[in-house]
Amino acid sequence: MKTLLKYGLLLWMLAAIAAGTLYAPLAKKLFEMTRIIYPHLPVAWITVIAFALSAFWSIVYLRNRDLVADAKAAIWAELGLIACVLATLTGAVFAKGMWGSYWNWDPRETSIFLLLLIYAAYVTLRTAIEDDERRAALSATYSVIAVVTVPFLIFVVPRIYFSLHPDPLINSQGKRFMEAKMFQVVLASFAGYLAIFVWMYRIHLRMALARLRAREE
Amino acid sequence: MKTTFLSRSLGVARKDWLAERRAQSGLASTGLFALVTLAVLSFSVGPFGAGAELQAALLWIILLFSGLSGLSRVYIREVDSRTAPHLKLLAGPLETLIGKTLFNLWLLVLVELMVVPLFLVLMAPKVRDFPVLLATLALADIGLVSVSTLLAAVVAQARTRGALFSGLAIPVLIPLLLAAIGGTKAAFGVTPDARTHLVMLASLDAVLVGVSVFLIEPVWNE
Repeated sequence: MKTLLKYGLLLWMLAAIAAGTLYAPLAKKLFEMTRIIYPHLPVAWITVIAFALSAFWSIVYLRNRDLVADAKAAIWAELGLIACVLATLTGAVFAKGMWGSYWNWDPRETSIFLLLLIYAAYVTLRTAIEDDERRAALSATYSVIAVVTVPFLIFVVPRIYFSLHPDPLINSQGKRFMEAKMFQVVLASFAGYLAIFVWMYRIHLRMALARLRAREE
Repeated sequence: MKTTFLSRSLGVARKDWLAERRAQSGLASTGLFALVTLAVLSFSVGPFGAGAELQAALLWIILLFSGLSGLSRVYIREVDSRTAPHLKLLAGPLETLIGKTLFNLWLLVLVELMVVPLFLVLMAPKVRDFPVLLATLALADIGLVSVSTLLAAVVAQARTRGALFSGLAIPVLIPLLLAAIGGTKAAFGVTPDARTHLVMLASLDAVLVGVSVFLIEPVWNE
């Protein structure tokens, strides 16, 4: 059954890539760079979801002092960091195609770069503390501090400072302006990427639980 | 003698100020760091080499790095001199946090009293709106100090400290720094809209102070 799911996911991702190339139309003014939306948007969303989950499990740890919650927080932070790197790289390719340079310090580029820094600092903090309980409490603290700055980075900064970045998928009137076929491919691609990240999460969690069991024994 | 929450918080701040005055090295090194940075910038850029936009950014870079060089000491000193258990007996985590935050705020204000007038003389930006500059400094100080003090408590318990403190603090302080630079630009007449930046600073202050109060107990009791 698991093997079937893995091959199913591979086929799904191949179909989503094919649909992004053959089925969805090109967006006005973006030309061929439209294709980069299909990996870029899903990994950017997964970045935010992963960091939100990391903060959630950090708060759970601070309430319950359960090291499993800390392990989940750490895993989601690391996976969020991977998604953040992918979003940064795909965004840089888009910037090169549209604006002529890979990096312009556009407010959205700045935001995603700072997210990378924040969660790289989180991972570094975890390596600087040896004791498990202390590491869990202090990194949970940092995670909560980090997550309160994230809304300012993602939602406030790009709206205060001038940005070249195309409008978000949902505009300020709360309406979706992306064409139906493009939106379908974005959603399909998002589902595929989400499945891959959940799969990685489960593998990491099994390893973390084994480590915790070994520590207890 | 019965003590109140406020008197215990102020007692912690007073204790830190006395320790700082006795050691004398902390404030002096922070002030020297700020002066050297300002001198290097002034030497390399000069009063006419940078526009008001760049000057606003330079002012905050000096203040941020000078502040970070001194603000982490409050908790590290307690751990290194093994006075943390005694302090925990005398004051609760929140009282200790408030006392140390007040002390750090005082330290930062002292640095600013030295750096900002010198910056205005050496870099000669045209300040169009002094109240906006003062409001920006005051609001940014609150956020900067509250995050730095909490992170000082975190870093005090880690193996590597100096570099780690800056590595942890700067990324979470960047939104605050962006708003502070925006407010300073408005005070220098680059942009007309100071209100947006001041509102962003005030809301960041509210969030960061609230989070510090919420998180200090698990950190300090660890």
